[in-house]
Amino acid sequence: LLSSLFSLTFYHRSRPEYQKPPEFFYDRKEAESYTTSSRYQEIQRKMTERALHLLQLNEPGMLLDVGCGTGFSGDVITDAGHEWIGVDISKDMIDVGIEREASGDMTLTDMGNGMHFRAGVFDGVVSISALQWLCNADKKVNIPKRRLNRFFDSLYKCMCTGSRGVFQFYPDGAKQIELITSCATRNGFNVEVVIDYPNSTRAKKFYLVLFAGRPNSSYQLPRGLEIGEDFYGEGNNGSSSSSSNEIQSGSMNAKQKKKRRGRSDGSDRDFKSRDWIMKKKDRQRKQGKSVKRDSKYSGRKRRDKF
Amino acid sequence: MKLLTHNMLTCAIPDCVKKDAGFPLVITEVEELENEDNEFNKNFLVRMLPRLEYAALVDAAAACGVEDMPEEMPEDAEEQEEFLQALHGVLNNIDVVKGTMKCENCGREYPITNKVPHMLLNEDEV
Repeated sequence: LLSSLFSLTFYHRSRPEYQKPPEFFYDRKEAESYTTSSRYQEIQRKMTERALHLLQLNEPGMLLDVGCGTGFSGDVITDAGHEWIGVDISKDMIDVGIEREASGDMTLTDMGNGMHFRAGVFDGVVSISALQWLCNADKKVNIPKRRLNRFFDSLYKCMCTGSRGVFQFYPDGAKQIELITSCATRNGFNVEVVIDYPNSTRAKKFYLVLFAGRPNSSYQLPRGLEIGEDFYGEGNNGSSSSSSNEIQSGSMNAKQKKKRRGRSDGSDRDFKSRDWIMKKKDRQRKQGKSVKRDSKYSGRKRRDKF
Repeated sequence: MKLLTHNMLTCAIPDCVKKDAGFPLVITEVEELENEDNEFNKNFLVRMLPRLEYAALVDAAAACGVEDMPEEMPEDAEEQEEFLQALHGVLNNIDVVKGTMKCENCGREYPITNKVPHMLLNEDEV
């Protein structure tokens, strides 16, 4: 119990949303670390490329980047041939973006107060690691549901009919995904969720795909990726991803945990049998870990030493 | 802030949003301008033509010192290379570094500093 409590607090501490409101969390120091860390940039670039892939625009268009930060994702959008306008709540992030001459315009906006653009001006929306911030109640005036509704309502208006939006985000659990998808649906969007690398805790990525108006019949949603797969070579023939109601929570509830513990206390004969080991190795292979190859010795008991 | 962005921005005050009256934000003050030399992308520009609010653009250009834009958009605008070049110059190359915008409906002012329009609302305005 103690260890699970500890991991719970640690988990909470590791998520920036629980520390400070975004305009304070993304301060000068944090903003600069984004421009100097090649690891951040690599992850950011990959996610933006994947988001553009899910967006599947055929012509150069005007895109909105929600939570543009230092405009790094925007540069990837420019490289793909589009123009973009970014919005972010952190002045420090935008200032660093201006200094490094990001390729698009940026405005200081709180997404929870809505997007303030004329109707039907954007061909698509991209957002990297921003949506989960909307679910925070970090101030007295911030009611997540109200902020989500205001955001999606105003977003729908400024998108062209038939256009799409792709939001990469880090949900806190199944409940949060449900809250987000239900708010988006209520404001007129058709909603899909694509999960890349679902078997890996670390590499797992959620993409919320929103359709404003009737989806174009030529568009087919790419499926989620598995470990080792890349989307560059993938055609459009993948089957549609799991819909939102099929998503399962990554964390077990207490009841499940108890049940599982009870099984391993000797009553379970399969425990550490060859079958059990093979299953575990299989699972770890799927997670992309390096696993020793199977042989006739796998799972065999060692000879007793005298 | 480029004038292309200005041509899309609306007032953030909920009442203006509800009444659809928050456009355009009139550029009341320009303290600093920058002229950039961005790439001319005809495809993109032609795609954007039907989405522009041309009258608002002419006013915004005038506020930034460009007075020679035609009053109305030519009907065959996509074929007039000269007009497209002028449009590109206004939309993509003028960058307001410091200035002020004002909503005509509610009177709320939005400052532009360091090329960034500040659209954040105070708690009592939400």
